[in-house]
Amino acid sequence: MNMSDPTPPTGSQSEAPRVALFVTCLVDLMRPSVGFAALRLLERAGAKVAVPPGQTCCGQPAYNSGDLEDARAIAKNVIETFEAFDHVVVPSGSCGGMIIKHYPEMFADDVAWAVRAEALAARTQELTTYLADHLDLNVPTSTFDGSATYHDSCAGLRELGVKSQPRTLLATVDGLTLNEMDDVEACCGFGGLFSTKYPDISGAIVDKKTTNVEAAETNLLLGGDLGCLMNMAGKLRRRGSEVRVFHIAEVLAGMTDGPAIGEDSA
Amino acid sequence: MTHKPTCRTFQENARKALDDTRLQAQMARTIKDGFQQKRLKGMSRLPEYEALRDAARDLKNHVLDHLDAYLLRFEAEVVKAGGQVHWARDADEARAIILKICQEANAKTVTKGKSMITEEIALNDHLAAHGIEPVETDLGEYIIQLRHELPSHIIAPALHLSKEQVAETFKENHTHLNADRDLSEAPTLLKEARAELREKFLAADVGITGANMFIAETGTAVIVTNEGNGDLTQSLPPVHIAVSSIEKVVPTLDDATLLLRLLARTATGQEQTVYNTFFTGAKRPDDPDGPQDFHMVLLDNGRSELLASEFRDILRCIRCGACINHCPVYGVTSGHAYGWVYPGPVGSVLTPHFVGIDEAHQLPGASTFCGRCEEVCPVRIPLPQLLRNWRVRAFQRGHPGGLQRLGLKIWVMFAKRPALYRRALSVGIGVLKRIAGKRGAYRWLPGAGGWTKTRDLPAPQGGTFLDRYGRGER
Amino acid sequence: MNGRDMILSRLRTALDRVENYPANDFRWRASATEQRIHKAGPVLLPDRGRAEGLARIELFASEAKLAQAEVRRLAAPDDVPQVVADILKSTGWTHLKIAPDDRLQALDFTGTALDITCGSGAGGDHAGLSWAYGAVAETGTLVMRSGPASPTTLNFLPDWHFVVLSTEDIAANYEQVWARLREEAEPDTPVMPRTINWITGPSRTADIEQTLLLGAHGPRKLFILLIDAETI
Repeated sequence: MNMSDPTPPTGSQSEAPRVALFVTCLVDLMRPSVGFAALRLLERAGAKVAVPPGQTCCGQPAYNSGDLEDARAIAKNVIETFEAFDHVVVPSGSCGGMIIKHYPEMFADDVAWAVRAEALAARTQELTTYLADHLDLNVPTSTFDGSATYHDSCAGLRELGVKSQPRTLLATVDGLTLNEMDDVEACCGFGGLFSTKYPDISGAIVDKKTTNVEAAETNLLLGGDLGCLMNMAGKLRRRGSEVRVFHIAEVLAGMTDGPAIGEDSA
Repeated sequence: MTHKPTCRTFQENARKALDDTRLQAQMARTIKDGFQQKRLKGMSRLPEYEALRDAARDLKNHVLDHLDAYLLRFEAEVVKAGGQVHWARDADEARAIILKICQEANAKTVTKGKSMITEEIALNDHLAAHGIEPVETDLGEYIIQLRHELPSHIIAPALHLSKEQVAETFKENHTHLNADRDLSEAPTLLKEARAELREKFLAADVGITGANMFIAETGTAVIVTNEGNGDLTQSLPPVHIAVSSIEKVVPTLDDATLLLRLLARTATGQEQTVYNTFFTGAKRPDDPDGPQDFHMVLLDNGRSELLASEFRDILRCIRCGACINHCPVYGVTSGHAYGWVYPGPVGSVLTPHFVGIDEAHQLPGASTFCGRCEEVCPVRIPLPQLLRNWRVRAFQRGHPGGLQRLGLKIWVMFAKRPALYRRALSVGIGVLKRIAGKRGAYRWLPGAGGWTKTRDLPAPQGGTFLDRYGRGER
Repeated sequence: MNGRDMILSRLRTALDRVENYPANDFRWRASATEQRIHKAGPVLLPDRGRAEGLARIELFASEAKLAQAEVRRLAAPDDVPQVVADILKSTGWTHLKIAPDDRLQALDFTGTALDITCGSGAGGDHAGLSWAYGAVAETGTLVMRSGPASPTTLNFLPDWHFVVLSTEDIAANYEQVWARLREEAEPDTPVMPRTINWITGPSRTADIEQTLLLGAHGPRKLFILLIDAETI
């Protein structure tokens, strides 16, 4: 250390923030590359990243089915698993919204847990929000030659205010241009279990959505929520579309060499 | 009896709408390029729009906190202005009160302004059953009355119909007119309806309207219309009955004004509807026209229960229809699929209350929780949360049941046990990956038939993240 | 228990709950409502509702036109008969129904070919003439106050509706009109007449395929005859 430095860093400043990555069950099971991409990006943003092995699901399926008791039990597991970290980062707006917005509501009648839920909520961020705050936006994140369109997933957009963050980050990708689609804030029709409980309606909504995607004149669709992306990728594939679908973290981390979501291996 | 609900078959009802390509095209045009654009334009002309929403939310919350006191004040003012106030506990009582007033007036025909409350209490059937002819005068309501349908939208009752269907309906019903007349254009249809209804207005014995709100300060009730039908309904016959529900009271004329700055703007993008009418009691002794008798019917129909429940916030609703106009589900199912009087997000909160959650459990489930309804609500009702509250009640009563419930419970069992979750799901994912092979998605998979019915299901990449990370992969 | 008592009792049960504090006491609620009503006034006035002087008149006219009303500026009330007659010329209608308002009765229609009767609106009226109680610049809205000089039915039954409006009666916002009504009310009589109509443009509907059509049940055309107050 330069002894002439008038403001020597304090202990806490000299240590990288301890960030826990909550990969979400969908990423864990369906698309681990999103988890690895998030890991890489968080480290690049200067975080010391841990992946607590006790993580499972945020409890959204139970919560949105009206099964409050089980949702609370799952939430307690998440709180216990993650509360020791400085930050928790989630590569999903809806799982992030679950922890940030809904956990505190869920324990409104249970003061002890409500305090812990609030504390966790205050330290939890959706991935693109965390990255937009912590990455050096003047340094290119990766290179991607071509255009893309970005879907605003509903929970991220409306529960967490995720709108400019992904676009700010995509602007740091060398060679990438963004073609906004029509009705970009319209729901894709996923809605978690809604997609299987109301298949016809969900199918009709995603049909409209993918029509807008295809009209955006790009062959790359990005988003921040794997559920929505699987829904749109599945529909695009069924329509015989050429559009490839990736999670934004994969593009930012330069991990687009493998098959896109729903794409056959070579 | 109120309208018989068909909410249980919501998905079958929706299927019919989805298969109707004419309806789908019309919905796309009238909703996205219509209502949504109009609202944006209306908002853009009033920079204070967001602040007005906050003020309106606060106003309605204040009213709900003081509801009984405001209702009593309103009642006293109506009486001072020569009107009568009737309190109806439920739909039966409201129908009986209104029928009695009509019978005492020896009414043969009554004209009606558009009123969702009279749809809620199924008033027309009741009057007709007692030999009194109810005539809907709002053009949309008139059309669906001729077709014996429920409204498909709370502010545009005939939104689901094409002009060809309207023409057909007019030819079937206006049989005294030349059967070969040309009804191919909308203006001709309007002209015909105007002429038909003009006669009805002039002949009516009683006029029945709703009230979008009513004012405690002065005993005034308010209707907003674009056509002027509500005004002819209430100013021509000797008796005027206004029906409203108890939560629609506001303290003062200025408070009503606050809501009126939001209502039309949010609903249709208009600065104001063409006619905002403030009526107070009966005609005054030296007035040249207006009703000699004025009756205000205040309907509870379970709203006092909602006030004490986790659904209280829905009582802020001013029935603008914005949540309906922005709901992705309504946007493809249209209104009749919902199976009762109120469609869309507001309907999915209200209907279970009126017809029971066992009948209506499909409705609160029919939401992606995209949150657009809450985003556009002028009084900031947390509609997704209210829908979720219904899902809690539904779950307690066994909805969903069967395999859906079993599947959820199995998932919950894994989610609560991290070690088991990791072991079991890593085996499961391995199997799924082997089934997929090099294919990136399934066209069909046992247990995922709902999903794969309309789209492919992307296959897992292979290995779980936690396993691969645990093995040192980065 | 009758319906009224039952509803009030249910409401009281809901409102007397602890979490409704401090409004969980009926006496508190009653006094809070009286106070709020006593202090009635604007909640939140948009800037557009604050226009003054000439700007207020211009705003009224432009907003009314936006709502598809036709606005004519007249030099003096004496011009009304000829202006109305000229507008009606193309229609072939010869009859004009006039509201029983002294200011309208005083107009001299002898120079026109119009047949004038006075009274409430009737089913067959083609053209009606009223005098507005006031107007609101904010949205180009006319305010019609029912009473002996202003039958409500005349606002709705004629095919074409002519409304005379004095510039001094144009308020910047709705709240000013409410204040004026409160101020003008006789003691111990209701502040509000039987009917106040806000009228913003001619009658319309979009109930057929959301296509906008003018002239649903009320007037197909609305003419606002704007007269400088100093000439009245």
